[in-house]
Amino acid sequence: MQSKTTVVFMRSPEGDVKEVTVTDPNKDLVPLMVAGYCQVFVVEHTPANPAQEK
Amino acid sequence: MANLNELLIALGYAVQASISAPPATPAFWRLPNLNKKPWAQHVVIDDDRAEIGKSHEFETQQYKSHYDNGVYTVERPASSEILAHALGFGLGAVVKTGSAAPYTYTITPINPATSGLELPYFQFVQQIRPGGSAVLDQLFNGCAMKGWKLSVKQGPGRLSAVVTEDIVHSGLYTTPSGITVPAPATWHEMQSPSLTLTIEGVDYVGSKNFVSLDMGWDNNFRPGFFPGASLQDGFATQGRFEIGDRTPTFNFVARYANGSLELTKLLALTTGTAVVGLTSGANDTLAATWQKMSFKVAQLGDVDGIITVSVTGGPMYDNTLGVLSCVVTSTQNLICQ
Repeated sequence: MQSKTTVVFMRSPEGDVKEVTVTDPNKDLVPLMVAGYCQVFVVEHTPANPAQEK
Repeated sequence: MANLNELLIALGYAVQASISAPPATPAFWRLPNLNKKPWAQHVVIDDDRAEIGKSHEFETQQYKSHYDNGVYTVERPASSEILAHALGFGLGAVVKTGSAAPYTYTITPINPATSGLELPYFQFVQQIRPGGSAVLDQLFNGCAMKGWKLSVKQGPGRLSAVVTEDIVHSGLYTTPSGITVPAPATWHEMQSPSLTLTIEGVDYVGSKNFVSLDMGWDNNFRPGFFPGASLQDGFATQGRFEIGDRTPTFNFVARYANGSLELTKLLALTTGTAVVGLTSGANDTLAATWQKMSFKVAQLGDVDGIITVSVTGGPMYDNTLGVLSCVVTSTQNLICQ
């Protein structure tokens, strides 16, 4: 059983994405999953050229 | 001529992009299967036998109808890998956490209101002497988990805890498969001595009263033939597997002694959680929680002369936590992803 804390991103049925800290999946994830939330993977945007990005 | 023992099976554990499109990154296990049968393709052919006006009762024409490959059974000793596969593809909602092993898969039944009626699809490969002189080399696309079962019983050995998957196939296939079946996988198998089982507050393992447990799920798929679905070799295929009225099952047998509460709970309509655990070392575990379990039938009997009670459970729906939630930790990454 997982005891360490991890962070996942969950999208609500309405489309909102929220960050969820998971310590106990049964408490932190299951109610959201039952309510129709699904996991999404967020890709951080890293500019190829920071100077150009500015 | 080929020997059945030459059969190679690869079970896909990556989610297909759609029922007909392969996964972005296909992934397979070489599958040793306790079910000693290849998955036979079955084509259905129509004819005009029943039509009158031909001047006789015999058929004169045949027509291509559809592929119906039936249900194929995958049967493995319980392991974190096959449990995550059966539960992930069989229930449908999967959240994976962890960036290094062990990975944690939290799995619940899909919510049709938000996720639709289709479960994730996966691939299946069977081969005998693949290559230039292949006897059999097929890649089945669009497989879905009709149902699964976990059986745990007293006794030693790998077969003391067994997972059964009932899988169905759209009919879409590729031959030759173009797949190289990977080297044998390491299955982190879980035997019944590792079982933990608490039902409505009673620890059945600690009291040494456990005899056997069968729990499972049937998605009762609706027929997937519809106008516009793809053809394979001119035969219709199933373009979707939609869940019907899903049926969970939970049955167990325990020794019955003074203080056993099963009959009392049956009469009182008591409900509570049923939590099933299996482990293989520290990193490969199952914790399955039936959120609201009732007893439908409690019947006295005997096993090997010992008085037992056989209970048919009634898994119920909890408004917040649903029917069933499973947490599988596994050293295997990317199952049902």
